[in-house]
This record gives sequence, structure tokens and C-alpha cells, in this order.
Amino acid sequence: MNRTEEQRLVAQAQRGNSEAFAVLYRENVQAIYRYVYHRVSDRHLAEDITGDVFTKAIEGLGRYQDTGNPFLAWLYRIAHDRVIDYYRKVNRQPTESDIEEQSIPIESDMDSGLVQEQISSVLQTAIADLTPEQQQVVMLRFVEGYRIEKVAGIMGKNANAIKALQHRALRALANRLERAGVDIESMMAGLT
Amino acid sequence: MNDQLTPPQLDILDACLETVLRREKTIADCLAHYPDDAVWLKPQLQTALLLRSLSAPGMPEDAVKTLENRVVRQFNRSMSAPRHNTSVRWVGKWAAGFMVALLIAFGGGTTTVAASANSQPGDVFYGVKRAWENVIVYLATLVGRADEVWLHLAQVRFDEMQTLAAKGNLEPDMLDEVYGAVQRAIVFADSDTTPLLVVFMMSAGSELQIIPQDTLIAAHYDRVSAILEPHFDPSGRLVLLDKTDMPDVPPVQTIAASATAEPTLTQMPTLLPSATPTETPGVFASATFDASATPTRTPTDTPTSTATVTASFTPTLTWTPLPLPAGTLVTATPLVVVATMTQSLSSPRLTPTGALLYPIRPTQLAVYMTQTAIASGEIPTEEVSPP
Repeated sequence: MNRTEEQRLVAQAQRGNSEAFAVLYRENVQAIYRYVYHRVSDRHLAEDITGDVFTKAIEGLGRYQDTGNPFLAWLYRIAHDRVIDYYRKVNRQPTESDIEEQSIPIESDMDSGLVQEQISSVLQTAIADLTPEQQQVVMLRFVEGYRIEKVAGIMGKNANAIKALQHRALRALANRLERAGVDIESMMAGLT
Repeated sequence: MNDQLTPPQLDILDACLETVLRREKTIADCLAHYPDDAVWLKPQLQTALLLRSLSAPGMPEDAVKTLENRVVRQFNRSMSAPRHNTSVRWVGKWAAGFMVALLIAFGGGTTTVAASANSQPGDVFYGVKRAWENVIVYLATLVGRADEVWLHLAQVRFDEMQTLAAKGNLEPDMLDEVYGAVQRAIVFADSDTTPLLVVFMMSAGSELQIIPQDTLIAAHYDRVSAILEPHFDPSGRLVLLDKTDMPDVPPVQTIAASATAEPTLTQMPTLLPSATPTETPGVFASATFDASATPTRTPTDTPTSTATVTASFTPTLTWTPLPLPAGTLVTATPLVVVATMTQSLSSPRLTPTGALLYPIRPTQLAVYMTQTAIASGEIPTEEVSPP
């Protein structure tokens, strides 16, 4: 969907056109779900929070102003806030011991699917220990694969700030994995 | 590993990430290219590649559909529920008056001096102009006056299109903008604005004929040409023949009715915009407007000016539009008296030149009507004499 089409749909939705909003929902729901899923690591919880994101979007649609960024950028911000709210309610963030408990040696003859699962599990636990902004950069930059400029637009920051956040997130993750005894080299080998 | 990277190092990291993540280079290639940075670069690039490998599960299709049904139900409930009912009742008249003041300040008529008002697509201020319009549309929708605003915006879009056409820069998008604005003006038109809209459509339809078209814009041009041809249903209401992308009328139209039904207005106040334009001769002027309701029927012009060595001056214009006589809207070309100001660089004084009769465009009349109709409920017609 191009920007003009998206702007038209947003304007229609703001005037009460439910079909326009449904199109916006279908266009963005998977990206929001992936974003939330990687932040909470639970499919059902991710579905619930994704629903909350669109409920909040409906409530705020009348106040929404196009600032030149995609509609998805606004939804990401809502999703980010919902995830923060969730963790605030449950009052828990993963700890270093969580990674250590999950960390099992990756053997060369391990099934590739199992390696992938193990890497995902360890990384998601480590990501959850980053600051909310670092988590957002990691998700948008490396999981969704957006370029720096687009991440900057979504997060409302300039590109240099995102580069700095990106570096701090990667450094923190690398340190975190190292402290937890995770062998990055063997993980990398497991990927190939 | 350095605790903080320098900006060049951040750029190195990002450049390496781009090439490695897109598999254009390996981590080893990058490290060989930046040997001095290899120590801190390697673990970060490795971590980034691991992150890239994170599986991205999709939401199951049935869950997507179930959630969509729920979201659409919530959307419909939200849109059908009375929104801000109490507050809009309270601010109804104020909001309507303020809205019109903003509209005038923005680009509604001959008094417009806002910097962005005359900007065209591609100009620096054009984004400001469109953002401002969104505010106006939002406010107008809240108070049930979207018909007048869309009528005005249809005129604005058409003017912009003509300007671009005159420069030879007419793009299909601009024609689509005109189409969209006219479409909304038709959808929102009520019995008051319909005659004005018809006059505009017929006038614009004629003017459109003289715009040269090429194959690039032909389809868009034809679409605009078609929509500018008025069609009516048996009740005399304007209808759209092409219902493609037809906008919905928002369910908030009753709000203004309840506001205007309040029996508290016993006088006939007129809107008193107080303008303080600052003008640099030969460039453009900008202005801020304050609006208040004052029970007066006497328009006054009180120009003052201050000359400076740079030959700029700051006039103050107080303008009190009169409620025009009540009557019936007719299709004859309406006339209105507009007090205009002239100024001279050698003698930086503003001089009211008195009344000037000239035909105005229907949307300018609509703006004027909006002012007075909000305050008095009367519909102006034809002409008014200066005091």
C-alpha cells in the first residue's frame, strides 16, 4: 500500500468508515503481532496485546495526525506502550538466570530446527532485558529489517540517535550472552 | 571494547551491518576492511546476525480474522456512540466561531494574510497549509459544519490546480485532490450549501475546459470534469454518479443542531476578527486572529502603521463583518462589499479605500455566511452597503 492510499484510508476511517479501518488493520496486524511477540515471547499473550493495540488505535484515531511517517509507526508506538504496560502490571522482567537456565550447549550434530529454537529462546530472553528503546530498535532494525532512517521515523528520533541506540543494544546483548556463557561462535556455526 | 563509540565508529558499524545483513559482505570482510575496529565490531556484527535469524512467526489466520471482527465491532461502536457530547454542547458555538476565524485566517477570502494560505503544492509552507486544513476539517466535523468547509476546500484545491496548470506542472495527483475535495463537498452538502456548490461546480467546470490536457492526465482530467457536472436526485439533493471511494458522512452531524438549539442567544452578535498582519511589501504577509462575539453592527477599520528603516510596517486591522440581510439563496452571482486597504511605501499609512463592489466566488461567500450564520442563523444574500 502506498502512502497516498494509506492516507486516504486513514482519512476515511477518521470519518467513521469501518471498511477503511479494516483494511488498515489487515495491512498492519502481522507487523504489530511480530513486534509484540518478540517482546513477550508468548503467542496468546501477543495476540491479546495486538488486540489491545488496535483498540487503542480506535480510541485515538480521531486525534491521529499524519506527521509524514507511515500509519504503522503510530501503531508501533502504541504497541510499545502496551508492552511496557504489560510488564509494569506483571512487575517482572527476565533476569540473567533465565538465560543461564535456557542456555544449553549447541552441538554440531544438533537438528537445525532445534538450534534455531534454542537461539531464539536465548535471544528473546536477552532482548527482554534491554531498555524499552533498545528493544524497539532491535525489533525494527534486525527482526523487521528496516533501515536506520525508517526506524528513526517510527521512533521519532534522528538517525544518529538510532545508530547510538543500535550500538548500545548490540553491545549489551553481546555482553549479556557472553556473561551467560552462551557461545556465540557455536551459535553462528549452527546458523550456517 | 569502548564504552562509547565516536560518530565515525557508529557509521562504520551501521555500514557493516547494512552489507552483512543484506549478505553483500561477510563479517570477515568487514573486519578486514576495518582492522582497527575489529575487536568491538566482531561481537556486535555476530549478535546482529543472530538477531536477524530470529524466527518471525505470523499471527494464525483464524486469529487474524477473529480479531478483525472484534476490532471492526469496536470501531463501529466507537463511531456510533455520541462523542464528546457534553463538551461539544458546551463549546459548540465557541468552537464554530473559532473554526471560522481559523478558516478565514488560513485562506478563506480576501482578508487572508496567513503566510501559508497562498502556498501551492511544492512550496515550503504547503504542508503547513494542509495540516491546518485537517484541523479545520476536524473542528468543522465536530460542530456539524463540514459542508461549508469542504465547499471551501474544493475551491482551494481547484485554484491550486489552476495555478499548477498555468505553470505547466499539473500532475495527476492534483486532479485527484480536486476530485476528492469536490466529492466530499457533494457528500456533505446540505440545503444551504448546495446552491453555492452548484454555482462553483458549473463555474469550475467551465474553467476546467481551458486547461490543456495531455495523455498523462487525461483519465484524471475526465474524472474531475465528470464530477463537476451537477446531478440531482428527485428531492433536489446533489448526488454522486461515481461512488468510487465515496467518503462516509460521519455520525456527528446532530451535535451542532443541539448546540444551536440552546435558547441562550438573545442578541445578534457578529464575529469580530481582530487582525494584526505584519507585512513586508513585495513578499507576503502573515497574521494572527482573535475572534470574539460582539453585539455590534458597525464595521470599523482602524488602520495604524509604523514605518521602519527597512520599510516594513505593522498595520492593525479591526474588521467587523455585518450580518447580511436574511433572504433566500439564489443562483445569481452574489455581490458583497469588501473594505480594502492600500498602502504606499513612501507614506507607510494604511488608507481605507471604502467600498468596492465586485463579484465574489461562492466559497468566499460561504466563509462569510459561516461567520454570520453561526452568530445569527441568518443567511446572507446579494449585497450590503457600507456604513
